[in-house]
Amino acid sequence: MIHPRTTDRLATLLFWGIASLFLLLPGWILAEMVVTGWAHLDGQFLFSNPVDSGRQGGIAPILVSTLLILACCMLAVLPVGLGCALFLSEKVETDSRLARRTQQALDVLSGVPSIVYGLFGYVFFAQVLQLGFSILSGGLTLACMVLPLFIRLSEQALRSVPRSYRQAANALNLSEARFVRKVVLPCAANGIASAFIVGSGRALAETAVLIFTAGYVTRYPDTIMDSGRSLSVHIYDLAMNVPGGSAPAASTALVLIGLLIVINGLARRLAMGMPNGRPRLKRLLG
Amino acid sequence: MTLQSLVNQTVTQPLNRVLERYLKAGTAGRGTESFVPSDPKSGRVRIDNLSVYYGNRAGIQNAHLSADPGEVVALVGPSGCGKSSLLACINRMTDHMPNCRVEGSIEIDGQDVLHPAFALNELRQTVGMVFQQPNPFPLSIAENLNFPLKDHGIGCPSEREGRIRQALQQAGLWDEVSNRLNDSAMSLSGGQQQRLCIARALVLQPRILLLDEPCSALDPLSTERIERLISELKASMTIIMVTHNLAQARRIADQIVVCWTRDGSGCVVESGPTEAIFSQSEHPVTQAYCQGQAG
Repeated sequence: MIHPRTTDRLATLLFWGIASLFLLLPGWILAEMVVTGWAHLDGQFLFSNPVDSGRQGGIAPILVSTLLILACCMLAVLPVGLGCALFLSEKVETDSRLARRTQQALDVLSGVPSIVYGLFGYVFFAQVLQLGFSILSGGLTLACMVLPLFIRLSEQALRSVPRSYRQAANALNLSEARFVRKVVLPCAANGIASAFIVGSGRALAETAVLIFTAGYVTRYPDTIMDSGRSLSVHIYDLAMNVPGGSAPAASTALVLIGLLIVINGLARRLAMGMPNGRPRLKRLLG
Repeated sequence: MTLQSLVNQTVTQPLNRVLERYLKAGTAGRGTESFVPSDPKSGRVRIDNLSVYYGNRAGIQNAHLSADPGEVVALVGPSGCGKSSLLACINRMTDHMPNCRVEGSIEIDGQDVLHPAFALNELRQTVGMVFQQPNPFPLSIAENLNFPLKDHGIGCPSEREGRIRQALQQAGLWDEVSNRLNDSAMSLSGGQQQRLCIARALVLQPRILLLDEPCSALDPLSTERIERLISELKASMTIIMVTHNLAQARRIADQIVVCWTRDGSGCVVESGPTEAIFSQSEHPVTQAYCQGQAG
């Protein structure tokens, strides 16, 4: 019979092994990218235009287009998504039919393949609304794709705010808007920041949607009505269509990962800096 | 959620709230008189034939309760006999419970608070409530009290500061927190947090204070402080509390209301002065409960 302590040790070893295996794959991918693309990655690469279909030169206009697409997307997602999540968490009971149906709809929308969103965006934004192949078209289509995920995650964060705060607010008959602004949003800020990060990550990684809506020209966009190429589309193009493009593709991928890390840090910092309502009562403090 | 309750929650209630605020703003210019009870001795509560239904199930049936200013009334009884539901009816916290229906009469100083025309804002200012678990907002100590005042239209900062100080003194917390009012309320101990919640309820100057097992999550020392506080506060208001602790009820209550379960729903079996309930109770259930033989 195996001693219980030995079983514990074996189990610990097993779980460490599984965790290490899980980390091995992303580690391998990252290592591969660093080995292939690090040599190519310098200031020149970040601040110059692509030359020879991207084999030479840099990614400056692509970086600008990506940031513009992301800004259009998240500026649409934040108010609509947060408003929707607030409505669901504040006004709809968890076990009500409306809540169940909404959750089902959001889950189905989260699972719709991105190419379908791309086709929808091409028809609706580019043709019906006549926005054409533009950064705005791409950003808004991405917003449609990111919204279900953002709403679900934000709703979960808002629902995790202790019910006892709501109970106290009701007993004091506090106005809902002020209670949400002062207590609920700061409490859920970290969860909402996570939703923002996950949403931005999905938007940054998206390729199919943007080929259909934002186009893939590599020039600098003058306005958000111009066509522009995102980093992920650039990586796809270099890797699939440009012979000898794997080194700049790997460098671009490293920049994309760096961008995600920066957005992650900024969102967390923003969430931590939410106002926590601490007016200085100097008179009382004497 | 039915369409009617959705419309109620998203349209009717916010509109009522705006209307209440508008009406209150009309009187706010006259100073702070509207927040000071006209008769400091008022705060009389009369509950008659009160029944509470959750869907088709009756949670409480035909309950009666009477509480006068200057009294501490303790609701005692086993778990699930409707004590907390009875307490929640007094300030209409039941309005926020889905499928909850209240029938009967609750009068505060002669006014029927269950009447739809009775302003909820006025009721929640008249009746303060403190819950089982301390639940201060994750804000600073001062802001926990400043926030309700601001929200109830007290615009003058010096008046708010005066009220914050007074409420903290009433709750016996001033000496402990006066030098760290801008610290987080979460940095306080459990007992201090509960006293902060009492101060938060007191800052709106209520005439009635509802306490739902306020000491159940506290250690004996903190419990003793809260009991002392209740005895001090009763001089200026009516206090109705739920407790599972019979010794505590005997120590601090003037009146006892014994609740029980009959046919699956809660009811009041007997009520009266504390000593009469403990020594000369008429109902066999009360006798057994007070002697620890039932419940």
